[in-house]
Amino acid sequence: MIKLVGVEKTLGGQPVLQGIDLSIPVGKLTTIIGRSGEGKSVLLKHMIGLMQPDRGEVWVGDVEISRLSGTPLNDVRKQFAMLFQGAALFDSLSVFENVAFPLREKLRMKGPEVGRRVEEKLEEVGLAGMGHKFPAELSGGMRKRAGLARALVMEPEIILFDEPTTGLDPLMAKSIHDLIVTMHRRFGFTAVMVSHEIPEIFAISDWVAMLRKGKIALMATAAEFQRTTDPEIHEFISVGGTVALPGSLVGVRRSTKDGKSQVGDGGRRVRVRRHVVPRVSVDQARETRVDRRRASTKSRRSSTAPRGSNRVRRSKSPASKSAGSEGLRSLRIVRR
Amino acid sequence: MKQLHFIGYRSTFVVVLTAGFTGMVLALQGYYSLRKFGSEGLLGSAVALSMIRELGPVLAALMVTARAGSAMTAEIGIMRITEQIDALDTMAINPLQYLVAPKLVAGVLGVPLLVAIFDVVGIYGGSLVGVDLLGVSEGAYWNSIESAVEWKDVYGGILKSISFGLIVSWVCCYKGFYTRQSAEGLGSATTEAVVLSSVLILVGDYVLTSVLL
Repeated sequence: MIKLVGVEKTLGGQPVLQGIDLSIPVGKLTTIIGRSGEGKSVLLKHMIGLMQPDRGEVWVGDVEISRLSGTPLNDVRKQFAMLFQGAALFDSLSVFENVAFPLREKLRMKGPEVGRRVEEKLEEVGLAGMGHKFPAELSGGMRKRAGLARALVMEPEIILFDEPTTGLDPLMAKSIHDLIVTMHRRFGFTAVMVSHEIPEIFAISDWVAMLRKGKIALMATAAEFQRTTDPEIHEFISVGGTVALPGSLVGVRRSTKDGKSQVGDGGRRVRVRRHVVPRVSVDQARETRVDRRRASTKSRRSSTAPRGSNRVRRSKSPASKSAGSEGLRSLRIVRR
Repeated sequence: MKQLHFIGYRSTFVVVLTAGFTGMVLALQGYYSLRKFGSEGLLGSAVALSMIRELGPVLAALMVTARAGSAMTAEIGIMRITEQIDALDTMAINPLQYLVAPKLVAGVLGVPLLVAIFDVVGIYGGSLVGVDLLGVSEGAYWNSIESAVEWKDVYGGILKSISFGLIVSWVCCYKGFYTRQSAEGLGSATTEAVVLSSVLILVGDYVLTSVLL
């Protein structure tokens, strides 16, 4: 639905986009990652025509928008909604009026239907009863939710998210991610998100694209992306010595010399950064390298295990006592 | 209506205050100058013509620039910095139509009304000083106004006030719309808007005066 072909853009004499070729899959959640200053937000703004490329084409469906303006561009924008980094709520309007704004100004809707749709959206994003408040009275997370409600109220086909969790604490960021995923699954819109939240984005995204030096370095499904052998990309997504793993990390299977193995409490064996992500198919095998330098000193216990590879392989196991986990997965670290 | 209230109604107090003291000082200065020629009776016409032709439109517009113009620039500038204008674009709503047009209309309608208030208050302020304090004949004061002021003076003042209202609104909205994305940028934009509007008002006053006379 959205396709960029050879897009180039220079800002302030600095080349930002240097030949972007990118196709956004319809109905999927695609996340664009990259280092700060690479031009991720610039790329996002090209998709909705807030910026025009110096060269190249931007296609939305079968309409090329890079040279459009005025009414023809506005006609294309009717398919879009956007959640900005700061939510971009109108300061002089209450939350209710902000969410009602596109209904009244674009659709010229009046009467109780406006109130019904606004209240419905506020409830979906967890802001029921907050319609009377003004943006200055809201927390960062609440502003993002109000911005999301405003984006959803027109039931768009495409929603762009520009760093939706920037500036939020981890719990609030997770709740925003969960909300985006829930809304995406419910309404099935095409979502394009710019985010720095690694490794969380691998859990919520269908596709991930990385912007590097003005070009798309890699675009793949979330699982394939994590298996990349490109050292720069791998380093980028492995910041802190951790790699996102689909599934729930509940513990470590320790192998003994007699061939038996048991699932140990992860806290007693090797510690890796925990995160809970949606479950994936049991049939899918995943192998991911875990940097042992980041493991706690207690990982020395694992040295008594038979030598094997340093690969981590997910396997079925009964749930362990790992706190906060709902999965039925455990990880086996076999040393080589 | 909201913009008319912001530009017009909420500027009334400062316009009345300015007008009152302007009329009073004009009467004070004018009395002593006219007394040299034994023409104190013409004080009313001197105050009224000065107010209606020049001081009313120019000073009222300058007061509106300082109070409402700077606020317009700041409001639109903050909307630019916090991406609210981009949000309007993404909703397929023309920001110029939604934000700027109402302010232009309010400027064109509101400033002439304020100028009218300015003229009336200024003339009465002059009367307060000239008649009550300096002893000019009340009849002479008002009769000289009636005989000196013509319709061309009045609509000349209206034409100037409409032009100045347009200048203030347009310049201040433009500066806010193209604010640089920083606090310093916003501060500069606000200052530049007020200074540029003021200069253009004075230049425009000269141009219109030379055309009307």
